[in-house]
Amino acid sequence: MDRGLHPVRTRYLAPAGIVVLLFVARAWLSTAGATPEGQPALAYVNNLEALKAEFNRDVAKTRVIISLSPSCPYCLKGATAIARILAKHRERPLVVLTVWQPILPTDWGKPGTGALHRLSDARVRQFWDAEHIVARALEQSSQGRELQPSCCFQNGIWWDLIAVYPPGATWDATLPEPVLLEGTVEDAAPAFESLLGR
Amino acid sequence: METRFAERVTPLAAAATALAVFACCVPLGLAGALGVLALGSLFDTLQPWFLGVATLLLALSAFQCYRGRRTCQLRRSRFSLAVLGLSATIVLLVLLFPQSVAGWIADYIL
Repeated sequence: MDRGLHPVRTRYLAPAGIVVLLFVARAWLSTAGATPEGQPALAYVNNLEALKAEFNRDVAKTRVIISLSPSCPYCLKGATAIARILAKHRERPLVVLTVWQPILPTDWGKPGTGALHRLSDARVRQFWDAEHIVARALEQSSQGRELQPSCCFQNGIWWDLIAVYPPGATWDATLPEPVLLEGTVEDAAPAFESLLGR
Repeated sequence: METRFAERVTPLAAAATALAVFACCVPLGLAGALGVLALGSLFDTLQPWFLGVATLLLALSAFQCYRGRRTCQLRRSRFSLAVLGLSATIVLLVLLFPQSVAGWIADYIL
């Protein structure tokens, strides 16, 4: 009896192992990574109030909103480009609100430590927006305005974008008028840098 | 000969399909530049299926390898096995560690 069952057990051992591995990986991926030193922990966007408060707290500074997907290589490259620019302009008073959101089929987990550490500047605040609340706010606020991004919509959701707001602009009913609203983050990085250079 | 060709092409197709999941803005921009935005929107629509298709292709290539050994009495080519192993590794890495793979692509390929 046992001899008959043995090959069957062996045959199913590998697929069962893979299934277990998938579940473990899934559990591991669903946990958020650690933010770099000097930044608060990754915050979850359940509504716009926390982000709005963060935006309006530093009204005298330039505010930047970056929308990224954690498993999009081009977004990660964009994040690295922004980090490089921030490192060049260390003295510039600004706040970068980085909003990670699930866009690609592989975005089944919150951003991990590797993704979060791409933006290691202490002026960066990082958020996880599973419901695309910020993307919708960005889209709604741009309706009827001249400045429109030339790309980056996936199934009606805005992503891989950078929006730059000047000092003094406040987020009331909607986001204020940005001075830069463009995607991809990587492609818009030079425009962002030239804004900081002014 | 055809079996061996299929044995090698199917796992490669699985790996390519899995990696296509990461082709986010790049092909859209390219499609836009080429004036074929419909291609971009078709890509968007099909993208969620890529991981499933990659897994199915991988299963098919494993089956082809197994069937080749059982029915045709072909000696499994080491090269075919290497291609299958490499493709399986790529598909599993994309499935399990997409952010790490994306980071690697961002740093070393793009």
